Amino acid sequence: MNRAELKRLSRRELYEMAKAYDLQGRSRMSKEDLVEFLSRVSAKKVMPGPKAPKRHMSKRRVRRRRVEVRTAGARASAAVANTPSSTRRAAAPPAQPQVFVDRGPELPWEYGQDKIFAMIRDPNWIYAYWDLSGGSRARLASVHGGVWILRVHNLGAQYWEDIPVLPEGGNWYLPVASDTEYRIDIGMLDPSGHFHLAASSRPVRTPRMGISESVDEEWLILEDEFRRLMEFSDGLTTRFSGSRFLSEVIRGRRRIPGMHSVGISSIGASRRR
Amino acid sequence: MSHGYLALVLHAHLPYVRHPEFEDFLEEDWLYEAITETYVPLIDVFDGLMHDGIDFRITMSLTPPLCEMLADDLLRARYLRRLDKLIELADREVHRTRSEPAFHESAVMYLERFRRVRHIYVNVHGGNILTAFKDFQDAGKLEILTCPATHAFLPNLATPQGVRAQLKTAVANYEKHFRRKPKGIWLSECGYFEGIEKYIKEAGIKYFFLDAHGVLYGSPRPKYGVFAPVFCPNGVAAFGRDIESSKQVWSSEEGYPGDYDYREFYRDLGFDGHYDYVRPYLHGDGVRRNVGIKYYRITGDVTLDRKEPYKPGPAREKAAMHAGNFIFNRQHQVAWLHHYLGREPLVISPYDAELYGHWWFEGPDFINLVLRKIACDQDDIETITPGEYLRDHKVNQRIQPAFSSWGDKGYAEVWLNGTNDWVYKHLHHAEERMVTLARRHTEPHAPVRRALNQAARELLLAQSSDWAFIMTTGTVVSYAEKRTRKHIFNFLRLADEIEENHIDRQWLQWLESKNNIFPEVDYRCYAR
Repeated sequence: MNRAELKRLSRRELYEMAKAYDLQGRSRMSKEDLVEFLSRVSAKKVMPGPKAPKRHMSKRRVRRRRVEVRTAGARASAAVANTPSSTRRAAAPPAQPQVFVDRGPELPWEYGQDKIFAMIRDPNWIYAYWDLSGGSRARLASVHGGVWILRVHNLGAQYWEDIPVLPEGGNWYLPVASDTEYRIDIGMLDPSGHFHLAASSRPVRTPRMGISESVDEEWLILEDEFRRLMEFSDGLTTRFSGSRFLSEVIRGRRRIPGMHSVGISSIGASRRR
Repeated sequence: MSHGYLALVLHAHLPYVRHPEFEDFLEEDWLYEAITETYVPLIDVFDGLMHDGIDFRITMSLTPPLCEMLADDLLRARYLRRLDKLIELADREVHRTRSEPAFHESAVMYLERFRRVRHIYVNVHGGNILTAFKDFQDAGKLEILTCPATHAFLPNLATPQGVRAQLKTAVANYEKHFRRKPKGIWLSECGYFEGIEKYIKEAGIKYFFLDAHGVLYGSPRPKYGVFAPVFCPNGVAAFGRDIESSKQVWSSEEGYPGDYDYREFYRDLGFDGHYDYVRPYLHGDGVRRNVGIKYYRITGDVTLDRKEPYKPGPAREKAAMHAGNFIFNRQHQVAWLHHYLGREPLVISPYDAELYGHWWFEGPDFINLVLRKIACDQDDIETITPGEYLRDHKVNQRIQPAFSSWGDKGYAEVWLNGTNDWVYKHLHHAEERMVTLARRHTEPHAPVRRALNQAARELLLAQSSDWAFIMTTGTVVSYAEKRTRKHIFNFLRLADEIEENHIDRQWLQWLESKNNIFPEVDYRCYAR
């Protein structure tokens, strides 16, 4: 969508679009910022970031701590403004924090370096965060009509893909292919197509998702034998993860701590026998 | 003449939570409950087996933060105070329920149980849980695994030095507590990336564990699936988890802990009891929380207010029945596998230790019965430790395992998503800076050396995967955020002071006494 079309939308509509692109800090952005961002993103819709799993219990156990009310004033805004990946231009103060939640001391937003770091989330997603405070943002500010992009290099197939980003966004989730080596560059693409590199990530290889093709002759197992073995293990069809097990057990007995037991139904209680 | 082997692996871990600055701190409860409900009952089970001359093998990972807390004098003193209060409450409960036979039986059970816990803890093992486990290991029944120093999710670290430091610190800490080198490691959350075996080998460790797909998706295909260990190309062995035996215990649909006769976790005296009566046993803020005395059983698919009173007798019988069922299933599993694979299979069954006793009250009874029945009632399967199996089966296939974890969805998402990805910018910066500092300061003077060691401690504590995990599950998020920020903040300030060669000694001393994990830490583990 172009800027003119975007400007005609309400802030609410823009916010929903930004949500689909999982733009961090969107709730604190002004309408102008949202228009700016959305006018640059590629047509391809990026999958939203993963929601927290439905479990409500930690492996340790639930503790709903009473939120502590403090009177040290300045800490309140610091705690909220330090929400991850919020844009530097922290807009209006949050709607209504009535109690102050101590989230610890404020940490630096940037570390005075030019860096981009790639992490593997799973076979199809790479997470990248960057810091451009080492001088590259200043240096590249003078490039006219330039657009900040991530250049995602598929090192095996030797091609790349460009994704526009906001330099102050600070991080991104990239959809990628499994069992493939990637490198992520960040920099500015100018109108003539020249890419001004700001920083380059370490190479990372996404995991394989599935059985390997390769077989060792000395330890021979045919593919259908192997699948039979896996079915017997019952493992990968149901994707039963270790630390998710606990949530399976507990989910049937979830209750909200701090509320009196009588009259509260256990949510989603389900048990056979 | 056995057809196969079973290796039960209990993973015992708690994040390092120690708050000397508060008289009473809520999150310390995690440790005290685990001691009362899981660790001491398990020790009781193992003591009983040894006393009765029953041969058994079991494996446990005791993570470094847990070991440090179990050995810490302040926490031990606080635990005993907690336990004594609990015994006092249980005693009052016996009197209160005199006229209510349905609950009185349970009240008596709790009093006896807590007194027994106290006796085992204080009299039998001198208030030292670690020595109890160490003794079982020295007797050849228990194999204790180590775990990365602060249970960091290793695939999310930024540098090889960071990985090495987590492993080296863990090994040094293990040697301190158990007077020998660890042979095996339980990687935090089974978080594995290709190449981690290089660092494991450097640390002198012989084997580690993976979730099933870490082995099954390995290359080349593993002939025996997860039912035999595999060697990484560099010779370190990897064991894969068996899903079937895990599911039998964990699954809410099919698993044992959900049985209607077992104790209901969510009807606790702390919530059900008359407020003024339970108030002295709650925390300072007076909020109703679990105290550990629960009178109801699961009963069925019913709301909490329709739960019925717990009956210890039938629950115990159920545990016996389930133990028998578990073994029956293992026998069949092993027989089929033995025939199909042409080799005696090894079934690795890992669980969080806290499942037994804390979440599943009858869990320790179940383990007790499983171990006894395996030893006495049948011949098809034997319990074994992974180290022993490797010793007896030296020929195994070589494969390259695959990136994996036992977290939800099998990879890194639990520790890398919208709720917690912000931490890595800070953690990685601190990690890289620690490496630089460690390399630069080869012969520091005392205050600088102390500051470097404390910086290492703060970094290690910040790297605990627990914080990211808590942010994902949304439980005590502000506590997790606070811990992350505080440790990073402390690190950054220490790093600045080291670089300026101007150490605030008073502040350093205070930090050393507060965040006192790993007194033996050596910052030089970051230098290589």
